[in-house]
Amino acid sequence: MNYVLKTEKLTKHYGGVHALNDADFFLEPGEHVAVVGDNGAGKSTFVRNITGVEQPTDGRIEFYGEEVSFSSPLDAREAGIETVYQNLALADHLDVPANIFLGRENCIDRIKIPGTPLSIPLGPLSWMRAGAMQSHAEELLARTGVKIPDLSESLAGMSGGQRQCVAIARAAGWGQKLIILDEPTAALGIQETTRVEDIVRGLKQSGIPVIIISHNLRQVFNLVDRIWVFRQGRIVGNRKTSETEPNEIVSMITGLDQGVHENASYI
Amino acid sequence: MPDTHTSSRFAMALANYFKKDWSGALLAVVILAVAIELVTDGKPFFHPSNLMTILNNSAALGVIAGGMTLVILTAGIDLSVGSVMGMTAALVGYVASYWGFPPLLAILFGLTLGLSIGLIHGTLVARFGMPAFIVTLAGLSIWRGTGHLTTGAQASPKLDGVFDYFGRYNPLTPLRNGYKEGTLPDFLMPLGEWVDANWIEYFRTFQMSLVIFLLFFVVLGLIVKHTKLGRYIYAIGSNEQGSRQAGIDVRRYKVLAYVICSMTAAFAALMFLGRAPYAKSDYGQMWELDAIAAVVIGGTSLFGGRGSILGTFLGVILLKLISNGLTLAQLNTFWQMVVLGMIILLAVGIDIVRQSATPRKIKQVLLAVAAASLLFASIHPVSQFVSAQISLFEHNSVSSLVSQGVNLAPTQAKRVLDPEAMVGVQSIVSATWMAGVSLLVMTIAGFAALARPGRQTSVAMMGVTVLAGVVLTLGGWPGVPVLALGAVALLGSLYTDTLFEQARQH
Repeated sequence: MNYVLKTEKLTKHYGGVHALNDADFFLEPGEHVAVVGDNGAGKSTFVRNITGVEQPTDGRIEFYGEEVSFSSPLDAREAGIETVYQNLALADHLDVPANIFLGRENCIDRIKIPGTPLSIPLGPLSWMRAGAMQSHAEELLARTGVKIPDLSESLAGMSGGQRQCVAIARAAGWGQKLIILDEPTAALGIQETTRVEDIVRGLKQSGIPVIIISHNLRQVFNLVDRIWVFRQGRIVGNRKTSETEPNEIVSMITGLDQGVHENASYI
Repeated sequence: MPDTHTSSRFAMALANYFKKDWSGALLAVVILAVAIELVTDGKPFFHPSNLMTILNNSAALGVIAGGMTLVILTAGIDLSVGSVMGMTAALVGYVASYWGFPPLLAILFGLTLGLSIGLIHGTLVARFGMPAFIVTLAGLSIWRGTGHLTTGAQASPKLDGVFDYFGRYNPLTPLRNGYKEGTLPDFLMPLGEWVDANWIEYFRTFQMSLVIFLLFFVVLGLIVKHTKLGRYIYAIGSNEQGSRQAGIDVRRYKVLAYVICSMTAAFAALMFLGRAPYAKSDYGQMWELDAIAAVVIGGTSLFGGRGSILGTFLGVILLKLISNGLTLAQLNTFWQMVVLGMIILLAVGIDIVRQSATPRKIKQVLLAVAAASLLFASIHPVSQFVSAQISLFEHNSVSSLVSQGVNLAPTQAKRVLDPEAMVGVQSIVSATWMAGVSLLVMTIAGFAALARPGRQTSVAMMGVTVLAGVVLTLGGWPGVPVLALGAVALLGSLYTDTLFEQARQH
């Protein structure tokens, strides 16, 4: 089977701390999966290692069938993995198109010397194509179903949900191969959470694979096809959402018998 | 009231205007310019030659403030620009005169110096993670000291005329001379004649300083708005970690900001040499503070990410207008420093309120403007009154010490007034005590009113402002135009709620 992402025995040690041990993980094409687990279970370490923020101590990562080792987040991004961090990595004082193109501006970066094959690179003085970026941003937001009343307004004046939507739309616009969402709705109200979830469902329809890290089991059951459970630095198992129920996931997360935590407040 | 449609459009336009970072600075420039126009006799303030003189005088500081804007936008600061400017000026003058460097080579040397210093600052800040404040504070000391050491803190001989092209050279001179000598091509003759005819009236003060100043800000404005460099500087100031995650080479662009800033300081040194008779290492003292003040008054946030080049331009003009205006209002330089500091506080206060605009806060700011204008308007009589009172008090207490047989140093004994000085002080007190006390009370009341913003407060403040105007006019003191500014602010505070309501409906 061809996997989007596959890890074998992925391991990360920080000195004596074994943050992640022998993680075997896979993601099928177009699949949406959730990574769940208690604090310190290793989910963040796992994500940091597959997105190039950190380099694994041991094990291998395959991305679309090829073994990869990302030395930086930029590397991973160039390979097509887009991550929406909890801090969103947005520049609050810039407007929506500027944020969508942040670090990847559409620029005139060379001036041709007429009559010669030579050209002068402009470097930092590369001239941005504002019109092209504006229309591309509009098209992208329309495609992902993100509604922003005034694109020219800076993000500082927008709600948490709108900002999250911009960050996801940016990821969707660039990462057609894999999108990783880190706690996408942790800081949002009910209405805004719904809006963000709708956008994630839209990604499912476009066939873009997604990994969501979430604490919210109800959301996980609503959104994804498969749930991966981490506990104490190990993957303790994965379940298809259609074949499991919250209680089972909770007992996998906690390692305790089913039923003990029926009323766990985070279901 | 006008009909709702027009007034709500007015409200919207007003709201949009105040969204601009430079809105406060523009407002202040316009108000101050009008106020100066009102108080000056004779040659009108808005005369082109006067405006050009203001631009010429702002040019060197303006260029530095432009570079400073980039650094502050990245949430950094550069305290060393004054010292870099001074050292560059001194060294360029030194090598051009004593080492016999041809002027162009000396100029190139100066710019290279700026570039190297910027690289050092930028590297320490961006790569070694040292706080910009500390690095450039050290720079302030190091570069000033180096400038003094290398040139012996002595003035250079008179500089080559080439330097005039950065400053006092009038680019219209060839046109005028050509006309006078009849060497102009025919099609330029009418233009030459026109320039010559209006030389004294208009073109005498047209200098390279202002040409470079305006050109520099146009280019810098375009760079900041349309290039990657500008975009990344804003992004880094907004969210440095996020910018790194978005793939921006944060270090490189931060270093670039410091390099540009130091290079503008070096370039400003050349511009200064273009107007100065000789080079000396004490040029540019305290310029870093003026440059930062201009940037901040122009609406750029010290926390980075927010601001504009246009704002800085207006901030520089505002600084020069303030010192101009206060000179016209016959305040001495020490008072100018005090007033400048207060205006900085006011500008930043307004900016903070603009960020979290609620009707109550806006009314408070408008009331603060009114109270501050009361304070500025009353400075003259109040300071005379207070200082005369203090002299009397000191006279009495020192006299009693002397009568107790305490030995005093000559400087301390000076506190005792001779009979003639006593008469002078007493006459000042008798002439100013009524106005001084009443204006002081009114000013304190004005600031106390900030606690209770509202319609009645605004109306009461309006009454106080009018009363203060009457007192000032009767005493023959300047300051009434400043009160007009307060009156405008008070009118605004009466309509704040209405405007807010209308803006909300849209």
